[in-house]
Amino acid sequence: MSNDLTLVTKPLEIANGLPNSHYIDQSVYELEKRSIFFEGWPGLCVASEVPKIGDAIPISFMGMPLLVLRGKQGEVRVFQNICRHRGMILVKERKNIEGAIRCPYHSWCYSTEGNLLVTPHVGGPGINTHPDIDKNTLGLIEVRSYIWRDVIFINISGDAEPFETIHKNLMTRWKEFEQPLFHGGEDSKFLLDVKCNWKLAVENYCESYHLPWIHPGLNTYSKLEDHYNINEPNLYSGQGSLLYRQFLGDNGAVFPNFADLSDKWTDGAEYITVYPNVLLAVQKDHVYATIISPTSTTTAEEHMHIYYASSDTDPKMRKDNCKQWEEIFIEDIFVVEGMQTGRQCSGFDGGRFSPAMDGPTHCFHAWVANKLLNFNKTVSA
Amino acid sequence: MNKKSKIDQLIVEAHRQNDKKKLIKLYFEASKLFSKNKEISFFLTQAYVFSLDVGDDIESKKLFHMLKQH
Ligand code: FES
Ligand SMILES: [Fe+2]
Repeated sequence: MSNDLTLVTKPLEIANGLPNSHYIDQSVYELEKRSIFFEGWPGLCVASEVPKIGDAIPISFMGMPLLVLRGKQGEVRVFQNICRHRGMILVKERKNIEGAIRCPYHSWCYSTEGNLLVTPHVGGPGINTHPDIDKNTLGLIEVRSYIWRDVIFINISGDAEPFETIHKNLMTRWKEFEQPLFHGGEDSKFLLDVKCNWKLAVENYCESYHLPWIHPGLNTYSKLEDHYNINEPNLYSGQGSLLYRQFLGDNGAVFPNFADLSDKWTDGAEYITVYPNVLLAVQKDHVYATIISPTSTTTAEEHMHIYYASSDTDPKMRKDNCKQWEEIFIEDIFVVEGMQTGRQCSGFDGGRFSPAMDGPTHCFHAWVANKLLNFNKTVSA
Repeated sequence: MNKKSKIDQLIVEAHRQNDKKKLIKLYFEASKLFSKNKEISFFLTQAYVFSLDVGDDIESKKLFHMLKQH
């Protein structure tokens, strides 16, 4: 079958989806890693994961060890999780750093702001300095980051356009939801391991076509015709609902709404993928962010976090709401895994899109294809 | 057992238990058992590193100044 990506970037009606190799081939995965993930602004995790000063979590991002750290002034930074001396991994497990980050190898110490504090015995026993070792140039390597809606987006290459520039359109679209978000805590997150390429999880989120079949429960009150496609070529895609039914607790209790929302959101809700890997939802009473973390060509993790308009919400309701979402995400697993298996069929040509229903999926495919095509152009130039 | 090998043993034990606060103390104590600048600095450095590790600012400051004098 053809590996020609220009078939993917053709208009929706006549385009093919991404070829099989983009789901099963290690070399394509490596290419995506460099061109899409390291050069772009993928989501890494959420800032609520490091609530306290000194909180540190090591995360392997597509094989690259990173460290998310809340510094003394409360600001969150991302670093490459290695010592500048011999490249040893600095932090192996989630912890709170009370003092400095001490490298477990020769004990070079770094502040939580990333500054190199001391290089013990670097000039010989008991001599902690050396004229050729300039501590000012040997701090931790910071990864460019931008926090939006609690999601920590990173740009490893450091030279992408600013996040706010790239996502101006979406940030404007959802401006009304630019208000404090309260993570529901331990009862408002879950992690699912899926045996599929990361893109299948994204694609499935972009579309509403599958709702009546895969989520019949959801669809009884959120019918297909009440959904609309969201396509912003080269930017983002997803779906909107005109008939959002909010979560009801016992006796019809509801979560508090976000403040001052316009009428659009009384019955409306939107579900959008921030390319490449962050699935966001806005609804009047709660929002969520799901980060799809690729772990190999054929596996990914889905990290879900739910947020409310107030820090004071009912724990049981939160728990039930989270459970409901988890069930919905679980309903999708057999499909994304089934499509992954299907990518082993040599006859599959990337598939044909429904011109009416698959716009958002095609929008994503075309974005991926263009990134790869442009990257190849720059590399071969 | 002489003082040096005694403290040596205690240091090994504290490392085994990853008791950093104790390590600060023991390395500091050890520094007093030596007379050469190099040796003293070595032990003060060890103490200093662990004081940074645990975030004991007062201890860090004290040790930093002592190190400067050696
Ligand atoms: S590798 Fe970190 S101090 Fe040597
Ligand atoms: Fe779904």
